[in-house]
Amino acid sequence: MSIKIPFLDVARRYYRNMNPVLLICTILLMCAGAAAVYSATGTSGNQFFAKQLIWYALGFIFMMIFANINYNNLLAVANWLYVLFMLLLILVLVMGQTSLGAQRWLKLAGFQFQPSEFMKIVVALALIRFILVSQRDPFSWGNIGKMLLLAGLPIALIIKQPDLGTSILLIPLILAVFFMGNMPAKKLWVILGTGIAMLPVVYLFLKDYQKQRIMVFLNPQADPLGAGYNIIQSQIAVGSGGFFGKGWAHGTQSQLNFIPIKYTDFIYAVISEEFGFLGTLILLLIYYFLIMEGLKIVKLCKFTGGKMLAAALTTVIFMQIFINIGMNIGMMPVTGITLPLLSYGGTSVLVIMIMLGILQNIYREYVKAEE
Amino acid sequence: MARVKEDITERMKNSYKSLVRVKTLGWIVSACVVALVCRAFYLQLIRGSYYDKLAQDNCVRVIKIPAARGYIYDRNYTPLVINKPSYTLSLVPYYFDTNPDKQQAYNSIAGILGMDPAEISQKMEESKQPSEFNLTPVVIKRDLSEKELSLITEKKITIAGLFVTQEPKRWYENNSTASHVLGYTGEITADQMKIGRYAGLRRAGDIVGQGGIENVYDDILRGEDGAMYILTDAKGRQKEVINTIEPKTGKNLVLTIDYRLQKFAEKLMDRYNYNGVVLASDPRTGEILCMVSKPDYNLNNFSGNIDVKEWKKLIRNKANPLTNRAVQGLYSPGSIFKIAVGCGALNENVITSDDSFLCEGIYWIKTWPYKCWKRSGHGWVNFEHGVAQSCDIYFYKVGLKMKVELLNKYALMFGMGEKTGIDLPGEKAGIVPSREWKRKNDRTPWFPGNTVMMSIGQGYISGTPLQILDIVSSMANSGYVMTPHLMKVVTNDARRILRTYENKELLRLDVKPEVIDKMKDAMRIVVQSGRGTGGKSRVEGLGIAGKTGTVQNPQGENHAMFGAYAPLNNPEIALYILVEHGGGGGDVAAPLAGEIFEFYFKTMREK
Repeated sequence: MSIKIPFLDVARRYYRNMNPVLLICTILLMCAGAAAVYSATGTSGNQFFAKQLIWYALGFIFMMIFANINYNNLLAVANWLYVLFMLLLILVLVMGQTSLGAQRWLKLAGFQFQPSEFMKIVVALALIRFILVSQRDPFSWGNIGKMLLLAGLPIALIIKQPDLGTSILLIPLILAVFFMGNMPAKKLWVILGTGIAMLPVVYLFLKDYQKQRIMVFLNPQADPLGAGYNIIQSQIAVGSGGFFGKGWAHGTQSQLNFIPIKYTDFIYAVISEEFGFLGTLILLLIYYFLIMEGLKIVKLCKFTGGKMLAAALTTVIFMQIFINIGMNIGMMPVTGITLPLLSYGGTSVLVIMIMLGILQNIYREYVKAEE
Repeated sequence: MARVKEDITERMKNSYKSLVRVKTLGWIVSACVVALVCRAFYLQLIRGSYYDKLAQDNCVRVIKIPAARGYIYDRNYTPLVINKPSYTLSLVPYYFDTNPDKQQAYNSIAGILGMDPAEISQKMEESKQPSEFNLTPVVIKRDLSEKELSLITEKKITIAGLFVTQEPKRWYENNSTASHVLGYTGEITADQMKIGRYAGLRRAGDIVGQGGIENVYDDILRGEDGAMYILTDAKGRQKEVINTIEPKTGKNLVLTIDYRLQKFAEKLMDRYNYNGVVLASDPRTGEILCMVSKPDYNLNNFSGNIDVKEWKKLIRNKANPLTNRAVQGLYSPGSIFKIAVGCGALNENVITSDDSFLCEGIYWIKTWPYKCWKRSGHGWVNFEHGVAQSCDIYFYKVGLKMKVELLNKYALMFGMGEKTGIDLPGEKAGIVPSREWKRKNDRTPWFPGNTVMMSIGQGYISGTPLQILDIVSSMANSGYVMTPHLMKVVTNDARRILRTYENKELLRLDVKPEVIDKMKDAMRIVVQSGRGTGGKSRVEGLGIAGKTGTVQNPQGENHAMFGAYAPLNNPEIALYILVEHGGGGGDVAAPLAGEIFEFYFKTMREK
């Protein structure tokens, strides 16, 4: 005998068949994020914490919405989205809000948001649509050139902001699309090879502070007070956490503000310091499950489009995790990449949630087809 | 059939391929995660105790050691600005908050410093805003006296968060000498931090040049700040100094100013209690030898603690002691402008030097009378006589023949209406009127009366003393002017020259050489002959040429002016003197010029 609640019955069709692993990981990460943001910003009033909770709620709603939009429809309007977000990127350059020396923000109806973050999804959609539409040989050299141009334009605009982090994230995204689109391995190697060969040229075009970051990454002690400060302090924070950590909101490094921008880019250092190796391990495991579940969805999906999309989104999420944690523990140079779902920030949370929503949808479409 | 089969095998191959590729991705991800875990394991478990110690020792405070600014010398390496040590007391809010009784702490600090406790707590509250900066010291008082220093040092044991740092402070050897040229230093203002020059380079509390040379050459004078790493206990009390990065002193500046001449000129103005300007330069290079602007102010009042009372007194003073009259004061050029008018008239063949005009002491345009300074009139006046006697009516008539267009052209040619580009802040350009200018600014047409006033350098036309000095220099150089400047060389402490100011030509007159010769001859007569107005500047055995000026002004007595150069052949010095409300140029300014020339050519040469 079950009690029938009419509303839930109707609603059921919007939330059934969600991927449980993905969902649980998402919720766990939100909890961890709330705890970390609270600890990292406790001294400066709780408006950060409250705002972050609002972003989580909003993000969750967005995730549910995108879990209910067939991803094929997204692919269908990919070109329009691409044009729209390109315009927004140009708008950012023309009249964007400046924050920490970079123009990344756009104020829309009182909300600040970063079009470059959304561009990750949009570029993936546009590329996949291109591959799907050109049925004969999507990976002829001519087509590859066109696709690189398609992805290159937004990358150039984002670099101009300058937001090197987000533009770098687009590169593994493109590779993931090519890879799961079954591009011949030979061509993939050629592209990778040329890319690596081009690196010294790219270095010449970097801004001074970006070059400095790379030099500092190689030798943080060269400038311990200036550019090397972030790396050294966050490493001290992580290392001093030990096995069990110093306890929630008791990290000396974070509470005494030795860690820079600790509630966004360096939130991992806060967690490591306060929850120790154990906490870090659990966090990494949650992320690992999330990513592996994403890859499982890639495997399950029967359509090339879905496969590519799921692979692209999973790759971006993973690269964000890897680069952010890497820079927190001194394995990667410092770039402004946030830790998915843990870092404070509206756009960052929203975009990850939308990505997870799309992944959920790909999974639900698969289940639907199986049924 | 075969095609379908092929298709199926193709598909199977593809799906197998993508399965392999997903697995590859999975392995890559796993490898990366393992790498992260390994690194975390290494940092947190293997090196954990090392980093833990670092974190505990991370009560390391970094304290800025401000770099000393470079010295400023005169052209003979007489020091004008040097540094003296001074001590600054700061509080670190984060640590200060750990004091059990903050009010008592405030009270005892305030008692030592003779301040109001509320003032200190307000300073702390103001700079406290974003919690992120709680570890940044808040400056409470600069330039502590020795007694304050020793009392505060005792308190460091009982009050947490007290920091005393040593800072070099500017010391001006001669108090007010060349105060306008040197300028003073002070904390950077909020507005300044936004300007391109300082944006991103300076932080609140940094000392920058706020006027004069200190401001213009701030980049050269300031050095690179050093840092001191201090180990503190958990409450922020200083335990030991771990490491020090020595600050780099700024570079030294050698000015073109000659201290002896500057001092002499200032004393001269003080002797009669005159307000005004004494400007001297070497016309061959544009080097400013002295720049006096009276009244002036004591620079040492601006060093360390600015005395608020003293500051208010300066601001309220109607004579504006803070204004550098030499480049920021706008005055009618007066009769010295007749040099430009006369050259223009001859050069454009409006008159010849032999043409004579009758001066009856008064000149009527319709019903308006325009008087000559000599009420009885000069009679028939030719060019030489007109300049030598500075006959106004002669120049009225010349000016009316030239019309405003030509007057405007020659005013601009002689550098009026445009900044000279001297290395001082806040230079003004002045006004050179024209028909359009008047229509735009006054909404009235140009009248002949305006031309008449302009031709004797009065009315709408105005310029800085420096521009008028340049008119004199152009004659001294027979047709060109070098850009005036104050910086001679930049040196390091060992007096090795790092940079030299490159002399530049500011303007070149488009005037025939014979015209210039005629004007120079007339200027010689102004001083050397009994007929001239500038006879009182004569110096035994020295050839001087000059031009007097007397400017009427509504505020009171006339301004007295005198511009001159010497010697006649290869002039070495061009001089301009302005005495506000002094009276006649020939009576008041010219004698001063005589004394300065005598000092420059005789007393200074003897030593």
